[in-house]
Amino acid sequence: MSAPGIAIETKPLVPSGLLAVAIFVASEAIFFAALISAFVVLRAQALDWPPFDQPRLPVLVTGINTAILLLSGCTIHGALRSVRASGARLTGWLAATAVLGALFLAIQGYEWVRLVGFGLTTSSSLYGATFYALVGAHGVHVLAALVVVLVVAVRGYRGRYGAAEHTGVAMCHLYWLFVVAVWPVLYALVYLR
Amino acid sequence: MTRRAARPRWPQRLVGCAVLAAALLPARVGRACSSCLSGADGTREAYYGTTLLLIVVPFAALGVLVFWLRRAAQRAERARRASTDPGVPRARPGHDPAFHAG
Amino acid sequence: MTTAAAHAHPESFLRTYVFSTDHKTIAKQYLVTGIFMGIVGGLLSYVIRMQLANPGQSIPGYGVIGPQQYNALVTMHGTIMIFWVAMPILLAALANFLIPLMIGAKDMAFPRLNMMSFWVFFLSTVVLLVSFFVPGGAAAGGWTSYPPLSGTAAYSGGQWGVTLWLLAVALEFVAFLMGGINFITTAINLRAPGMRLFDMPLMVWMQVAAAVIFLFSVGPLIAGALLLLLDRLAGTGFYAPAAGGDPILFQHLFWFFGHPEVYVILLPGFGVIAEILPVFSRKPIFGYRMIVYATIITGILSFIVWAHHQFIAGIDPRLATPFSITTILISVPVAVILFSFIATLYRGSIELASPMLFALGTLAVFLLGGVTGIHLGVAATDIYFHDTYFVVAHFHYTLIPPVAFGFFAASYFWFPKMFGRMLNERLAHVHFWLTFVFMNLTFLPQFKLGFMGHQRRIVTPTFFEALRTPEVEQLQSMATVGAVCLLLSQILFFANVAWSLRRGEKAAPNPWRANTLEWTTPSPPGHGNFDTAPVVYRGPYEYSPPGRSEDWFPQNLAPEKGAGS
Repeated sequence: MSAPGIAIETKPLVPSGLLAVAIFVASEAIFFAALISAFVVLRAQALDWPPFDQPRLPVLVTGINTAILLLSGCTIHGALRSVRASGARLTGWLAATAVLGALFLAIQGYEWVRLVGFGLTTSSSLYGATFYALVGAHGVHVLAALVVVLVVAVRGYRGRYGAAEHTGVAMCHLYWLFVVAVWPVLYALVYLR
Repeated sequence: MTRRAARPRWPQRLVGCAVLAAALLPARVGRACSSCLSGADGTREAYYGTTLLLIVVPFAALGVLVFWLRRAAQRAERARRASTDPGVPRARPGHDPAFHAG
Repeated sequence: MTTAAAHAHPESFLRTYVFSTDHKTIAKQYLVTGIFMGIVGGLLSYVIRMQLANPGQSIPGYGVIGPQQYNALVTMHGTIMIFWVAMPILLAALANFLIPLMIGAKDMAFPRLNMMSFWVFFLSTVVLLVSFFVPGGAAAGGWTSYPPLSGTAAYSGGQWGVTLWLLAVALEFVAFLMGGINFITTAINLRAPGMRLFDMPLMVWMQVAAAVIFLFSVGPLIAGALLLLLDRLAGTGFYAPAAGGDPILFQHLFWFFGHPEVYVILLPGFGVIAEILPVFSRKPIFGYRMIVYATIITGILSFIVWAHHQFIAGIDPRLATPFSITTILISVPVAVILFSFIATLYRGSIELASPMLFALGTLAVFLLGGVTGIHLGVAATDIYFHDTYFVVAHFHYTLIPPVAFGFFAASYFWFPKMFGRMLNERLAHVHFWLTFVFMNLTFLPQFKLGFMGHQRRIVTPTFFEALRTPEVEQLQSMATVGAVCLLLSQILFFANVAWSLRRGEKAAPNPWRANTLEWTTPSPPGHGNFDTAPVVYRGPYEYSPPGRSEDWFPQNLAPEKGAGS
């Protein structure tokens, strides 16, 4: 007789979706490391940085904006904690995150428009080129993460998540935290140095 | 001459290493790079730094992932031991060392 | 997250064959696209070889070739063979088909992501093929696309060639990003009950390692390509020295991906061999764990060798020495894998069936490729060999074994599982010997050409006085005869496939008497793969176990009461 009978449950080690996002975040981290590498090398070779005829970057406004983004990291964490507990305030936390993220993007966009007005463009200097490449790449990521947060918020509003099953929220949480965590590094490099 | 006499002892080796290191340290001043496109120190250091960054970040990311999975696996194993599930029995056709070579 | 619940229902043609979420269908889609691109890439190499043997003469089926066209042909041959043949066939097709079957899963972890991955890849293929027909022609900056060659339209043909090239490569990487995440997640989460990590067939290990290497190295290339695209489209000057940029930076970012990519291709090829050798030696693989550890170490080391591509590009020599050391170091784990394979053969009852022939051919040819890599990995000798035909011969000797031989070995081995019919064995033997002989005839002369200082990527060798000797011409002709015959020999393979698909002998579920789980499914496996969910009791390579009448012991066969454990 060859009845196996005692098969253990094949429960995934970690939720598949979360694992997938974790791997994706890892490769994204290396993408940003490469962008930072490019920036560091180009910056080191420049004779004057920033060039004398180019506008200076808005350090203070962007500093406040950094705080806004960091705050959104706290709200997304609140969302995950609430869904783990009961799920009552999930939508509220996610909406707060989305508003903060949108605010961040709006301020960034406003500053971009002003900088372009002052003559800082992708082709005006390498200074402008690296600025738009690095900050732009991050901005695109915030935008993508914002869409994800909104999708998860709508699903949460419809009651898709609970204390037992909330992989979607965890995925969104991880990705948003990554996008938030990258920004201070870029801010320090591009604006403060 | 015996072979024993030719082999330096530990203190002598250490002194030898120290002398060698002392001789090599001032080589800093001789830094010149005929094939580098840019002779500037800043560029060279930037390349060193970014090379290091590109080496460290992937390994760090991979390390975190592996650590996380490992912890999850250990937790799952502990949970299984606490439950009544004995797991799938392992079948090994005897432990013939020649069969399981390597 | 999970499979769409529409399993049992008969599905429309479109859902079954085109937008299918079944991993086996997606594998076949990748396979067919990869083979088609392989034919395109092979035809390009025909034109290149004809030009090199008879510079300036009209090539049958193509015509006279100009320098710009030649550059585009070389660029596209390299690009296609690496990104559109090796990657889709070895990584995407084999991993898609085998990982779920080998670990006893019904499908991938993310079937819909899997389908999307293929269609993004398909789109990238279309974009690449379109770039042949845009004004100015296809990209002509080399498969590495170095700026300033690739950065300015004036250097690399028209405005569109390189831009479309970058777009196609970016789309392709998005596709493999989705694929790679899927492979890793599937192998970690969906293994059959009882299958521990060290019960996974080596193919799964190697595919997962390849996917990890790919995912963790692709970021810098995407960043580098993004900056290059901005250089071309937005007027930035990241790689333009006139604007303060640095062309070396691109090499830095490109090769950070480019070298690990070699192992992304190599490891699945090794995985194929690891599956085939034990089956046709009727012996457990030698040093299973050692091979796994060596694979992991290879993967780790592959991240710290990339600067050896820049030894003469103007990097600091003090940076070159550590990279020389790591480059030579990486041959240690690779050698461990190779010699474990060879030790597997020792005292086995070897059956020279067609998969085995190709597997052994891979070992033989790869050994030569690996050994010549040492010459290029050491900065001191690389300075002389750099950019000569020695390099061309070297990387063809390292990449043809896993890509071409590995693919053929896999085809002859898994064709019965994939399509339910056996391939013709006699035709396969002829195919192997012709391929093996002509492959060597093509590339051995190129080592010699490299020694003689023959540079690569020159359209008319006879333009240079040093290369106008009878010996150079003779070697070039030899290589061309070899290449043309090599291409013609592949007709045998396609004829075999076409004939066997309709007339081939019906395949039994386990025609090779192999242990791994894919052979417990019917040939070909239906939707959902396994009739009953398998349970795994032992490792994948228990051939000729003592005290058993059959000389194989399937992984899912329950142990008799009282035995083992």
